[in-house]
Amino acid sequence: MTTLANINGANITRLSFQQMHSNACQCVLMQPPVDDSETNRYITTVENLVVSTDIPIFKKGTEVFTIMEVTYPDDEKSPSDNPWERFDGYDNDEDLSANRKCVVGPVYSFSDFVHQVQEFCTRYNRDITLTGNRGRIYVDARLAARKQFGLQGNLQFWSRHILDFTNEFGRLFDNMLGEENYYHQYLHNNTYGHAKGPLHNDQIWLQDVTEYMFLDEDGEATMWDFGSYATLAMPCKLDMFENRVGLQVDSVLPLPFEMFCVNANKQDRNKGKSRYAFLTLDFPEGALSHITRFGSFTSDEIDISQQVRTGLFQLMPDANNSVSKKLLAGTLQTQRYELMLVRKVANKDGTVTLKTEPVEFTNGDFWSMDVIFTKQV
Amino acid sequence: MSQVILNRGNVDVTELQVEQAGSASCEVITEAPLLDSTKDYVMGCTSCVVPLTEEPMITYDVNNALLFTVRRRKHGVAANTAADALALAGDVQNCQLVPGYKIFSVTDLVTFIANWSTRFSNAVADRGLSADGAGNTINVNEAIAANHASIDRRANNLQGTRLLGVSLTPGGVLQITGSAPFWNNFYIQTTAYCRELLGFSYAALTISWVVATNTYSNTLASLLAPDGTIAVIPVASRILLANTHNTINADYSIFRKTEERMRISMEVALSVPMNISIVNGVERRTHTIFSAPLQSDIKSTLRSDDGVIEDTTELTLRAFQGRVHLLKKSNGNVQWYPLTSSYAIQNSRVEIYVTRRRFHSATSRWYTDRKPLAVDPDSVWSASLKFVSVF
Repeated sequence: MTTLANINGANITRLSFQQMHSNACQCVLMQPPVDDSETNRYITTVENLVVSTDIPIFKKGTEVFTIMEVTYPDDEKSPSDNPWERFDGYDNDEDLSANRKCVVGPVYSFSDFVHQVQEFCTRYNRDITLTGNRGRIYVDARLAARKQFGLQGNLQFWSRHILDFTNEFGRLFDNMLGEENYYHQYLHNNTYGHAKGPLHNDQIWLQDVTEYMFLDEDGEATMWDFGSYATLAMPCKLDMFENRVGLQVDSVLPLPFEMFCVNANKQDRNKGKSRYAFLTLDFPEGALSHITRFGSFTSDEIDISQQVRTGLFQLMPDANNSVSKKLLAGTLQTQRYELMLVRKVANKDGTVTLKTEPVEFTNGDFWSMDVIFTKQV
Repeated sequence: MSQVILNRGNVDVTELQVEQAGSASCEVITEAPLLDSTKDYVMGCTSCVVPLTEEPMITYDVNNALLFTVRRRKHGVAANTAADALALAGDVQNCQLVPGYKIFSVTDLVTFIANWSTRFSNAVADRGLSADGAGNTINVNEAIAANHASIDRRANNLQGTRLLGVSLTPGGVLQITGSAPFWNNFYIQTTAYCRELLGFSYAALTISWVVATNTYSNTLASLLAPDGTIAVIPVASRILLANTHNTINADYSIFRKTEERMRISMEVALSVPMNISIVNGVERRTHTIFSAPLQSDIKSTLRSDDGVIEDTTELTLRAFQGRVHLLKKSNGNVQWYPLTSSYAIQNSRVEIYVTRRRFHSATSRWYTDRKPLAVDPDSVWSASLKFVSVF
């Protein structure tokens, strides 16, 4: 798919846009680059689309989960009408030690996410202000190499703690226990398949919590058959936590509408919709690589390497692209282009939808592109 | 996106190879006219190689040289005045870019800051801390002997605690990590350029342990008392040495604004019509026939040990230094421009420009700055221009 430059009458006209501080660039030209009466004989395309900004997957200060410690009846804490007070300080976030709350961001890739959670785990494991038999947790590297997120904990951790997830992450993970505002996970299966249920029911919650903490009736860890550590895997609805699906360039060019068929899930059977679109591009992939270490023997550890998509990147090179579109009759004197980001958003009902939002440009960020008009001959 | 057809009868193809040493501008004078004046032509740049040794990622600007200043968190004194100033030999309390140190990549920049943090930590450790400034000690809130292991990394065969250091996340977010003695006795004042470049949002970087809420705070309110003096923190409320929550993260990746070089472009002194440039909404004509961005090419690698992710990570990134191939003949990405006239083209000029974004310290705004490429006298840039006739 191409246009020919060296054919008589092609009349290649090029507009180069460069915009700082804003996702929208606009200009009313002194005269239209193409005569209004001939607009419908032109093909338009984009070259050299360059974006330099910061588009994280998760913004700074995104809370993932909080480690909640179970208070056993044996600990002689007075029972309360509020079921969540069973957990140390849940009724007041401010009372939580900062090292119990896993906060990440900005996150730019899956490997960035797992590393930031591991940093939190390291702080948690080392923090001397956290008292009691708090156990140890880590991010499971073998699962990470398989593009999955999992937390590895020892008996001391899983027998006294649950992970209380925010709604944002509770919606993102499959098989999460609980419901909106009460998403949580804890080690609730053993190797014999004995499973415990979710803790979201307040009535059940007020009963014996030991039943839910992977212990036997006496509160002993006799059912622990995992060895030193057990991993809780949390499959994510997003592909490797990547929620940046695409970039769109909106324009005011006279273009025909296009058909879009977007179905949020496998039950969704929406008919296609006609929509105005100038340019829709996939977000650059963050390719994941596996690294095997070996000397005399091959290591059983897998290192992972991933491209980081931030800074300055060229979404569309100079040529050899397939974004050409035929113009309709109209004027090209007013030029306006707006850069939008398409994100995957997990909804309350478990579906995943695409949401379009303006790309955030602050002081110093910029983008540029060339728009080409070529006449049909 | 456009291509040209060459295997059509009577199509004329002319190539002009340009090589220039020591200058961004190349004057071209041919013995005979370059093109057949009876034909119309389109032209494009098919290859371009430029030396970037004289064009580093960050250029030195005396107004934007200072990044950080470490100040004493001396309880009760007026903040950000001479009363809390820290004076170390060689002004090592200031992290300041130097003209001779060319920064070609984020690695260069982060290494520079890490090197400064080591020199600062050693300088403080060599003097020791005290609450009265006796001897040559630094007058702060705690008394720690010079070269004590709690403030000197070099102590006990490199088993001591490092006072201050920097790190990056796999996404390139800068982290400043201070030990408990550092945050209890010092804070870091940032400049507007530093905040923009590295992504910090606070003018003062500080960490405090807020006993009342059992949380950590890095806001200015936790550093200052209502009267503007540095708040007095009781001994029981100081950050403990073994505490691990001692890192301040930037708000965004360091890759966002450290690359000043927006693009390298080429202009020719030929009649290239209908080539319109709209910069921040302002229309202008241009003779640019080729431009190339310097794309970020970053890869992060996580290591694992015993089935868990290790804390250490690696970032691999491309440094644009030396001769850089902006466009190769093999990739075929050519922008074609029609020429208005092919009559008697015997002299022309080809010039390479670099467009940078630069920070204006007075307005705290970024602006674009387009200048001819700085080329070392011994360096050579080269380009190929192709002219194809229209049929």
